[in-house]
Amino acid sequence: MNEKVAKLYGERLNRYMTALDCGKPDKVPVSFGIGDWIVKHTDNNFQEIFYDWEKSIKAVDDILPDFDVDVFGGGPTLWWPPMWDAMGSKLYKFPGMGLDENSTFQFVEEEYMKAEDYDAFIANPTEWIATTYLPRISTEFENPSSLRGISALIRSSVAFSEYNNYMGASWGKWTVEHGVVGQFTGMTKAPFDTLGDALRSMKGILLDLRRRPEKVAAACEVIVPHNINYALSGAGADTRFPCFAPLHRGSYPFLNPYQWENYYWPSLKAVIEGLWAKGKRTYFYAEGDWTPYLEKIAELPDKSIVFDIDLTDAKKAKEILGGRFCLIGGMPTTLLTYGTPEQVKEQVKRSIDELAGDGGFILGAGGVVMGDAKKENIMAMLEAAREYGSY
Amino acid sequence: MLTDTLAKAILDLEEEQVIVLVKERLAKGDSPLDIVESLQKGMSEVGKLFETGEFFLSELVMCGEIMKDAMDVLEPHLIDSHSGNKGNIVVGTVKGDIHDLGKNIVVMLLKGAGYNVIDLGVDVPIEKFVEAAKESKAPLVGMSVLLTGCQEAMKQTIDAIRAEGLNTKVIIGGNYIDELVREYVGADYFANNASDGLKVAKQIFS
Amino acid sequence: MSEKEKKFVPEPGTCTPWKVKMEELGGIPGNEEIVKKDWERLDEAAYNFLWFWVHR
Repeated sequence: MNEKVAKLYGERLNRYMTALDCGKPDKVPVSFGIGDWIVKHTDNNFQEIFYDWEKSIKAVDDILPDFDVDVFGGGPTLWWPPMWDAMGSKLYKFPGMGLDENSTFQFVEEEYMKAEDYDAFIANPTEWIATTYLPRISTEFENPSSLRGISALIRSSVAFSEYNNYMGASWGKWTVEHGVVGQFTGMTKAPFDTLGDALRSMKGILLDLRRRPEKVAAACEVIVPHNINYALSGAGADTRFPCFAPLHRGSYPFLNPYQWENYYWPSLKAVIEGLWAKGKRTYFYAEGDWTPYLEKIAELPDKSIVFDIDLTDAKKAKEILGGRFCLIGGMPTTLLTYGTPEQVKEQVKRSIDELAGDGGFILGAGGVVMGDAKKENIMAMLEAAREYGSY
Repeated sequence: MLTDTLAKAILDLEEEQVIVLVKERLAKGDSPLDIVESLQKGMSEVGKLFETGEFFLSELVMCGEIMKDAMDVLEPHLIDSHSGNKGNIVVGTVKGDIHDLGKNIVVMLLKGAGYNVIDLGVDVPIEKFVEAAKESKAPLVGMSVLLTGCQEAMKQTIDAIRAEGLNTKVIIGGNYIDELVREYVGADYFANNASDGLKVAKQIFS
Repeated sequence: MSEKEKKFVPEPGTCTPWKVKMEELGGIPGNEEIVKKDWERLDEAAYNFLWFWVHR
């Protein structure tokens, strides 16, 4: 890292860390990543960006020098599809493989865990995942004792490790060359979402809450230590940066208040508190609207989360969580798609006026930035952040 | 207040009781259509409670499941009775999008309200929408979309329907849809939730 | 792996804990720490791979 980059890195890191601890840095930190909106600004289609990691990394390399953010959310792809293809995974369709080469990935929601699997899952979840779930979700691993099955597992785990190493090296390079500070290390979920997203499906788990609520509660309880462990182990030894927690069914209006308080919240709270006890903060990625639950969220230990405002009422979030938890947001993702650079700049100014206050605020897009976001709007947001962001 | 015990059982989301009551009334010789009407009455109450914020998606999904099970029992008895049909509506999730939950909730509420719903499924090609609208002469076509990236497909589908000179209204539905999107893709109406969609249907078929 | 294979519920972060392996072996002639270090690291990688498909 040369002196100039080191200085930049130091400034950015300091802004992020100060805001996470609810302090007031020199400027409002701004956080953003390279989503798949970048694809149309490259010579590649979606399939090439998803499958060829060199192309995906190059897309980031090309834009990073002009991408003045304090907190960097990462490159355009979450996964490397060959790892999924190796297993013949049913969970996703990827561009060019099950979907048009110019569309983004999509999740195929099914009840991959059946209602009658609860007891086996609760008794020994890791065993159940290996012996029941994996063969069920993987066409290449349907028969785990065949050559085809065994080689699928080997191929996929090699891909898993290759990709993790490659991404690690890329982040290292971005840090050294561009002074990039990453948004988080490690990931976890609310146990209810672990159960509801990939295992029981949304419909399945919502029906379970009426038909077998005691199984839902028992399964969530079993998942808690796993989700604490998964976050820490995925993060290596790092506890400086928060771990990413994409939250789903806890947003309004999926669950009624009784269900939320008794089935969603207790196990999520246990994960967050368990991580905080080990010094690890949770990036509370509150997709959707969480306004009705702000008071409950405020019961968490001070600073144990950074709260991402998507459709949650930003003023209320500031009022109820502000000062005790860092907030991130202020830019509706729809504005980045449908708005103009002028509207985006006005929004940045308004959000900073309303939310930046005495610190503990990071400017960012709430929720997922979709592929149709306009680059000129994103650049306008970053520019305006610097223009209006000095404390 | 609901005096109809079957409608009340739906409202209370008592799935086993609903099936028992449906079977009892069939055995008693009640007309299957009257039974459907009771189910609809209950479901419309559920819809109202959802609108007023007393019910949540978990109740709506449960209600849908109970309705599905009740309709499975009733279906064989309904085959010859076509009356009570308020008209045709074509519904599907647009090309490139495979999300079906929002669409399924709308389909359930529309069927419950007495419309004949032609459900095209998910990832529906443009031609399929046009063909179904033409064949059914449906006064209303509903397009569901979750991914904002699929709005081009929605625009193209609506353009294709207009190009055929079909006199059908188009409603688009989805979480992220607003007036800006409606205008851009050239739809007549938009809805962010199933009950708003139902209101539009009522307006068009009245 | 044989009839000696024990039934156990692995703790989070493990599939085949070193402790179980040692009980099965009843001790090893060499330095346990040298073997244990990589056993546990790779076992955790296997655990993360398995749970990846749930957390995805």
